[in-house]
Amino acid sequence: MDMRFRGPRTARGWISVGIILVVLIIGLWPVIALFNTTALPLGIPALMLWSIFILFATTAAMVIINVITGDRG
Amino acid sequence: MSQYVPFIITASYLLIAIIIGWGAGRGHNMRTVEGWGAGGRSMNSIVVYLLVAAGGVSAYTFMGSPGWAHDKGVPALYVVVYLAYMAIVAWYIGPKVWNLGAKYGHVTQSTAIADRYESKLLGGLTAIVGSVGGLAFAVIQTIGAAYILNVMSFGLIPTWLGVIIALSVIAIYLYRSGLRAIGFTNAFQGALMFVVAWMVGLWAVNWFTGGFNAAPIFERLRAEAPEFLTLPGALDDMSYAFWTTSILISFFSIWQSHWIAWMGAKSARSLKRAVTYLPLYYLVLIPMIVVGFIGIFAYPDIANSDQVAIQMAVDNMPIIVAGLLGAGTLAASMSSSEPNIHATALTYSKDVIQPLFKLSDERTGKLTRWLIFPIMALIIAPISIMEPASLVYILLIGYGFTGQAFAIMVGIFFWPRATAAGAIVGLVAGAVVTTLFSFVFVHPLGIHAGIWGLAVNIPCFIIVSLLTKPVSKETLARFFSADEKTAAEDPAR
Repeated sequence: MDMRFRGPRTARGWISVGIILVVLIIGLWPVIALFNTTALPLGIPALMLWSIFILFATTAAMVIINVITGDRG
Repeated sequence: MSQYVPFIITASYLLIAIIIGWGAGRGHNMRTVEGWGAGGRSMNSIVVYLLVAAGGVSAYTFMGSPGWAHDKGVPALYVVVYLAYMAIVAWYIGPKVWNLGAKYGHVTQSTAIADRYESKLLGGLTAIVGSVGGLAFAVIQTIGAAYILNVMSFGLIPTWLGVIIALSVIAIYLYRSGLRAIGFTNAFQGALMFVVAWMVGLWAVNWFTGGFNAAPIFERLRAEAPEFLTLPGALDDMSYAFWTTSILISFFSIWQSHWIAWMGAKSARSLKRAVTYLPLYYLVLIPMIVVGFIGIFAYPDIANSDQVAIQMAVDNMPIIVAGLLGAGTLAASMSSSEPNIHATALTYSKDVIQPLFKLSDERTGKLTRWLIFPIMALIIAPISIMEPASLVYILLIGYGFTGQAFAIMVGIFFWPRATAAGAIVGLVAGAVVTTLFSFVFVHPLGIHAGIWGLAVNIPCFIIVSLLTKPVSKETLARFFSADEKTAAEDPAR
């Protein structure tokens, strides 16, 4: 039994990890600081619009990874 | 009399939940751990979607998030982000957990842990530590349910009675139908909550601005109180560090109740399909946060900001909308409380009592559902009636504890070298640090106590694991060889 840490073994696996990391980073500091303004894009607070975007981005990330890895569970 | 129409609508919800929950168990054997605990792994994608979604959306949606928006402003949005990220965990780990559970008979997280680490002690320990968060969450939701019954009945139902009513209703269908009751009531609750949140949000915007554009609310806020529109918020307590670490600790937290909910899916594929679209459900929070922003102007001096949406509904909305908001809030509370009561009963029975008293599977199956009664009567009801000071902070502490099991999860899915000794030392060290940094030195440097706990937990976990003997090759083969085999067969993964 190989006792080493199990990470992605293929390019597609690493791309998937990269997509998830990007999605995670956009909701945290320092990225979140870029949207921490009193500007009102589309009439709502910038952080609110960004949070809504994160909901869609997270879903899109999972759909894309399902497709590129062919993993349906 | 018409003033009680919203209450009648809210109370009708309880009746509907009992009918749905009671009927959900028909034709299923509820005297086994598998039947009562995992619903016989029989639920389709839609039910699982709403089960997991409604389980994540709590009374916080209808009470806490408008309350936070009212008091602090945009810091309320951190919940939107962490719920999206928790969906990633469900999507990645859920199908793996389902496959392992179906193959080796795991229902609870702690059973899988005990199996992987060959340690019933570790299984029992994670059951107890994890239940602290689960029970805290159930208490918060029960208080939320009691608030609703109190407000909608214009004080006729005191909080203590509201607690008893909410728990009694849950007890009826949870005892009868187990996870299937949670699944089918959550499906109803989830749909109700989504519709009600948007209906109330749009109504409130129209009531306040005369149209359906929220821009005038935020433009006025920018002119009069711009601190509500940016971090750290109007109360100056959500720094970048606390925003980031609160989200991260939530991301690292895999709740016992979520794990068990995943087990209810009829296949790993249907689970994956369901949770892929989970973040979109959490759009449900947005209109209620907007309601909280409106409350800054409409109810600037409200004593309990958690009640701002309900108060606005009772005072101004058409009685049907107000009643539906009451029902939706009650649904949100109960749909998040019952999975934690169920999960705690299941894990106490399966992972603590069974190994301790060496009970048979049959005896354990019969005992499990009876355990909901002492858990409700001796833990949840008294604490809910005493009403601890702050709902959300107790929840954060709960997340802090639950997050300490993250290292153990790494050992199940990614690191064969992890050992029970490493996991126990890490868990205990992490829990001690989390407790210390939650109550004594509160969130040092603005970083969530749970993250400090993990910072101590993970090195302990790694070092002690490397110094102790790994589990048998047979066990590791069961958990890791499928992964190696799949990779060998399908290099694209």
